[in-house]
Amino acid sequence: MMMTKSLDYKDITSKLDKKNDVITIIGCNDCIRIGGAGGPVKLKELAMKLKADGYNVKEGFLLPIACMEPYLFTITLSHEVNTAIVLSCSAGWSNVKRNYPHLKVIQTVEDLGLMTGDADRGTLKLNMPYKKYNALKSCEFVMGSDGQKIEK
Amino acid sequence: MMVSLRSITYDELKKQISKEDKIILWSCNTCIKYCGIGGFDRMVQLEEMLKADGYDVIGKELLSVACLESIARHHKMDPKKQDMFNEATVIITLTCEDGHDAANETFKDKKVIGITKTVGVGNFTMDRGPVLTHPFESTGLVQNEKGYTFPEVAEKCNLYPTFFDDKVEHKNAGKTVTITVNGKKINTNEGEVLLNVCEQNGIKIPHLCYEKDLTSAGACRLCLVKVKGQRGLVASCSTKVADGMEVITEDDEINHYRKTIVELLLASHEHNCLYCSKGNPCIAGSCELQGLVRKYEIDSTSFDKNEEVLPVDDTSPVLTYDPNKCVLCGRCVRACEEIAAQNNLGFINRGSKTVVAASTNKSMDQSDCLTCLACVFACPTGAITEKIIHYSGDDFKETKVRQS
Repeated sequence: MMMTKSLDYKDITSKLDKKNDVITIIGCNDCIRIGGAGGPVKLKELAMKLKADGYNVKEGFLLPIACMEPYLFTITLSHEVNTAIVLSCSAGWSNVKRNYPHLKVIQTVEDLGLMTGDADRGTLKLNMPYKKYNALKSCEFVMGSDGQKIEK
Repeated sequence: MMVSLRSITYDELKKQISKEDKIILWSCNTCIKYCGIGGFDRMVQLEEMLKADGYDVIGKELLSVACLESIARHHKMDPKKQDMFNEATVIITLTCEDGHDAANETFKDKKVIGITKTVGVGNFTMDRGPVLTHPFESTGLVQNEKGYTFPEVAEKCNLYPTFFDDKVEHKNAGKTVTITVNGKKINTNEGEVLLNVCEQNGIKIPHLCYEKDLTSAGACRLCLVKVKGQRGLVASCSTKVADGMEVITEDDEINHYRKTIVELLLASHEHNCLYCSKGNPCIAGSCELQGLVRKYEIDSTSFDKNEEVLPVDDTSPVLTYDPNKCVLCGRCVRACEEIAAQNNLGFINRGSKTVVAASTNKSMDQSDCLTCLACVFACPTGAITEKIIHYSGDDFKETKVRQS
C-alpha cells in the first residue's frame, strides 16, 4: 500500500484559477483512505471547502482503485471540465494525467513510500520510503490519521 | 498499484530450499496478481513446478491484502491450519516486498523467501498491462506518466518481466488418469476436481457457488453431472477424478434440473436485473446468474416469487450489499474466511429466511469488515458490488455509477 500525506490546502489552490477552472475531483477509495488523506469523507470535505472559497467544482468521482484504468474508464467527465484534482497517490494521478491529456491535473497528496498496516492495532508502518522520507523508515502512524506519527 | 517484478530465477529459488523442507506458498491477491507474479493461478503453477522437482509443498495461502499484517496473522492463527503452519519450515512469498515484510513479521520462526523486487508504483492499463509510473530512486528511472512496461523495467533493473518459466513444461509429478467426459477421453492428474478438469478441456459446466480460489461447497447444485456407477447425480465441484470415470455433463434431464434451479433462484427474491449494472461486463466480473438465464433461455420463473424486499446495506465506504440479489452461494462467506481471514460474513436465519450477514448481524460499517473487497470479487451476482460514486450539485450529492 502507498502511504500519502496531504499537501497544504494553499498548495492545491495555488494551482487553481478561480475564474476559469471548471473542476472535477477524482478520488481513490483504497490506500489513501486507509492512510487518512482521501476517501469519501475527505473528497467531500475538499469539494465543499473549495466551493465555499469560490472555486467552480462541477462534480466529483470516487473510484475503488484509481490506479486501475478499467475503473477510470467507468466514469464520464462533464464536457465543461478542464481541471481534475486527483485525491489519490501518484499512481492514480498518472492514470488520470495519461488518459485526460487535455486537462490540468493537480495532485493533492505527496507519496511517502510503501507501508504495511495492522488493522487490529490500527497502525501503519512506513517500510519502503522514497529517499526524501528515509528518516521516517519503520515509523508507525495512526491508521486513518493522515500522517499522525506514533511516538515511541 | 505497487509494481513488482520477479527478482530470482527458478534455479536460484531451488538453491534456497531443500527436499526436506515443508513449503507453504503465500500469495497476495491484489497488485501482485496484476503484475503477473501472484494470485491463485501462479501459486498453483509454482506448486506444480516444485512438486514435479521433488519438493514438498504442503499448502497454499491466498491473502486478500498481504501487506496488512493483521490479515497475515489471522491466516496463521486459523485453527484449521495450525498443523500445517506448525509443520512448515519455509514460506515462499508471491507478494510485493511490503507483503514479504509482513510475512517476515508473522513467521519469525520460519525461513521466508521472497521472489520479487518492488520498483515503485504504477497503473494497470488496458492496452499494455501493468506499467511503472513512479519508480523508486534506486531503479535509476525517472517518473513517467505514460509508464514503463515490464520488459523495459526488467532490462533496466536486471529483473525478469514474467513469472517463472512460463513456457517450459514441467514433468508431471502426479499419477495420470484417464476419464471419459461426454464420450471424449481426457488425461489428467489423479485427484483433480472434476469441474476444473472439464473446464480446462473446453467442457463448460454451469456453477454459481464454485470459485477456484476457494474451497468447494456443492451448494448451488448447478454443477450436478452423471457419473457411471454412482447413484444419483454428483456435484462436479466436489468430486475428484478417478481412473476410468465416465461422466455425462449435459443431457435433457440434467438441463431440466439446472433450469429449475435457476428459476427457483429467480423466484427467491426480486432480482431487478434491469436496475443492476452487473449484467454489463464489470471489473469484478459480470453477473453469472444472468449468464445462466440467457443460456437456458428463461423468460420468467414458473414459481411464485417471494415479494419480500430486504433492506440494502449501503453503509460501507467501499461496497454495497443488496441481499435481494443474493443467491446464497456462500462465495463471499468463504472469501471472507479463506482469503481475508476475517470471518466477518456468515449465514443467519434458516430456510427461506436465510441471508448473508456481517459480524453479529450488524451493518457493514459497524462490522469487522476490512474493506479488502475479497467478497466483491467473489460475488457472482450484483449482491455485493464495489462503490463507484458520482458527486454533483451544490451539495455534492452522491449517486452510484453503473459500470458499462
